[in-house]
Amino acid sequence: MNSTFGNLGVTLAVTASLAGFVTSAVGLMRRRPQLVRFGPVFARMVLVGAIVAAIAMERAIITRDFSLAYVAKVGSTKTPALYNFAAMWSALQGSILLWGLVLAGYTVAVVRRFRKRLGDPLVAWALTVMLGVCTFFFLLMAGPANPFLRLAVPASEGTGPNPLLQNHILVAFHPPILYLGYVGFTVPFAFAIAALITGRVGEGWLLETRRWTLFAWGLLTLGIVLGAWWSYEVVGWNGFWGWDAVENASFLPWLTATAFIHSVLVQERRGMLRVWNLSLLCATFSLTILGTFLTRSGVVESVHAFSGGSIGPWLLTFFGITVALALGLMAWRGDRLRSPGAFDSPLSREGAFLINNLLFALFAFVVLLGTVFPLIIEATQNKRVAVGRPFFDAMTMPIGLALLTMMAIAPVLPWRKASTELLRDRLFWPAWCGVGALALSVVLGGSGVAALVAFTLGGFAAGAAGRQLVLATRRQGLRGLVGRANGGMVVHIGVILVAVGLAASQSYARTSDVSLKPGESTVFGGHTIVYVGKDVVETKQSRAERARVTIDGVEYAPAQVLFNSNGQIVPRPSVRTRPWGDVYLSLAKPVAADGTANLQIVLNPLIMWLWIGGLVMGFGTVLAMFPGRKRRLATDAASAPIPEPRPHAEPDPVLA
Amino acid sequence: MTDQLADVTPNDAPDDMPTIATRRPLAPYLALGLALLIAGFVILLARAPKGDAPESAATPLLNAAAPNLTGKTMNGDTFDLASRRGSWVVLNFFSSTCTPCREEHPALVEFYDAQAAKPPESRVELVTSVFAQDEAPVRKFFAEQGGGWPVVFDPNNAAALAYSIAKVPETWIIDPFGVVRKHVITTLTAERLELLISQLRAGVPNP
Repeated sequence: MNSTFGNLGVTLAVTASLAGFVTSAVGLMRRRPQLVRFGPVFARMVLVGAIVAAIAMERAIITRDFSLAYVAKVGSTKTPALYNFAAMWSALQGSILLWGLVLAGYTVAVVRRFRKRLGDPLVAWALTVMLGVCTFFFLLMAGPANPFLRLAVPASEGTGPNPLLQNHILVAFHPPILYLGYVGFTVPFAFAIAALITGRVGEGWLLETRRWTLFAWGLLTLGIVLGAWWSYEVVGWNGFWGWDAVENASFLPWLTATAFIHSVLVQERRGMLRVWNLSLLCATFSLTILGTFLTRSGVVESVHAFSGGSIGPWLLTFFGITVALALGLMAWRGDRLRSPGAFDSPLSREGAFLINNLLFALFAFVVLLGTVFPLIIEATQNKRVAVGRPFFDAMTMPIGLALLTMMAIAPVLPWRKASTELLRDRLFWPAWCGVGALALSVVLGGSGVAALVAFTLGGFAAGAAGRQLVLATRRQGLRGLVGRANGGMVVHIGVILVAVGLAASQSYARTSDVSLKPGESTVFGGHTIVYVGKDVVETKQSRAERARVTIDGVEYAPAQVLFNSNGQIVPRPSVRTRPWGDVYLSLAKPVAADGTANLQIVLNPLIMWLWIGGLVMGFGTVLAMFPGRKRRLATDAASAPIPEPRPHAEPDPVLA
Repeated sequence: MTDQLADVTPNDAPDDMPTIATRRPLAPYLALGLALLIAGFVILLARAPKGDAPESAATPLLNAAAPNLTGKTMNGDTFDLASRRGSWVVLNFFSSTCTPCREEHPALVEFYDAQAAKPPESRVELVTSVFAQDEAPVRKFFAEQGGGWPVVFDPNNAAALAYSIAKVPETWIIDPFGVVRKHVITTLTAERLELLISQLRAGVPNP
């Protein structure tokens, strides 16, 4: 029955999205408003279909209906309820179902938000594009990634989700949040395509989609940070980011979207960078598809790619179509898009945004290159190489520091043109904050050029962000914390916290591998670590062999967990978290027969601020989405060129 | 809004903006260039081998007599694979320029060290055959990374040709009768290698 309802839901969603896409597109091209009017109806039907399918899948998983191939793969009678619920998105087909559900939700949200303007060709085209994307994803579900396939002989028990996905409460939240971000970029992409098709390439559509982009960006940020945190807390490798293909797949659109939310301000204020902004939106969306292809088709090696399935060619084709459509439209409309304004001075807000964008684009290029480099080498030289952390760390650190520098200077720059006196005046306090941060880190024993540079720039940038917030709150009270400029500064402070946590934990982490017999102790980094003894905790699904260890008298228990379902052994770390630094314990091997425990002790200074910074970024995004101080119209006289005396200019006809 | 520039910039500028019409069209060329670049990229991706290809490659040599490997080892001894009959041999084709080989190395060291702890009759011999490479970098690599097993410089890549080596690392498991029992084309771990050999010893069929 679950299979029947699920297939019914998928069929409804496919049919409705295809029908909606075709009728809207035909209606728009033939100028038949009566056809266009069906778009929103179909959009709602798609959502109904997606919800029916998702409920059918959850019902199958909760009732342990092992007649479904997917449930037999990810479900198990031994999985606890929460992880069982989250099992829906623990493998390929179910994650596509989640994608479809989120996408359908966004489509209906667009319909609701613009319900008074559905006849407007711009909105109607955007809806058409979204229905087109829906068509693709529900076709995937109907065809190569069908989550409702039945087994010929129902299984009596499933294997359960990957043990790593049954370890931490974050599993239930990280993927949906990430998908809300990832899929959310479909909305601005749809409006970008609509603007290109209708030729209404002014700034109107940007204002409409700015908040959608921010919403998606904030959730993607939160999703990435939660993923890193999960990785640190759950997988005993003392790391939170490994430049793995799946991580890069979520990071690439984040980079281009971050570039966009900065450069879009230039377009709003000055009417410039239009082609660039459209390209960034198209790139962001295409990169979500490309990332999904890379991680779901098995072409790149990854620790957490979902293998199997034949959806690779589908995704690659869709990526090709997306890029071709975007480029074709831009070739057609591009010259109309060229801006009437021009840059006056590199030392201006828009100049800083341009540099920021070039840095983000370079960042994205480096990450993409590192991700696909093994493929290029394999294709051209028939050799196998792996691109690892050294490449990414070496390439991205200077870009990161350059971005921090921009973050320190850009917020104080005025639009159009800055004078040196003004800069000296406005950068005075931020610069002292930087010097203060440097002095503080040296006093506290900081060393190493890269880390000290990062701390200095962090202080500098925090000063610049703080200056803006102080000025704004002084003028407007608490309202000075909302709106995009001020909320953006809160996001900046989050980024700075992340940067500081990153620099400190990467530069000053200390590791010690010790072998201790019960009762023995060791002192590391001022902490007394005593190995009390081992114990075993057995549950229905796993058997954890724990080493009971005290850190300065408080007990912790890193473990080796054996999962019954597939016999996989996973080290589970135990972390003492403090604002000034974590003590990270993991049990490298099972406790030996003579009772010796091989413990890895890692001191990670300031690492907690990575997660706090991520939350601050999310919070700042919320603040930025509130309407701020009333602004002037999108493009007003600010786009007019600065009159400047030209020595060889024609005599002014009016004055002459 | 009275001035002309401000007039055309807000939402939905008309087609014929005088400041823009005079510029030469650029967008089609840029778009075309990008399109070619991305098309190349898509072709590259489409042709990329899928990672879920079986790690154990079919080979005509499976269950056939293992081609011989003779040559000088790193220590200057003469090595002859045929003389190793009677014990299980793990033959690893290696190049110090290949990243996966370098990543695999610690696993091989662990595997080799584990053999010493076993009773002599159940030890497995490990042999490295250097694939298409000069001696110096290999010597340097083993000096730095360790590994006390025979490292054979395969003269004229004769053995590599006989085994049809395409991409290192490739690992072949040869039984005491000199018969190829397994061909593995991914990087291995010590546990996996032990498991494979114990399965082969016990006659467990594995794909």
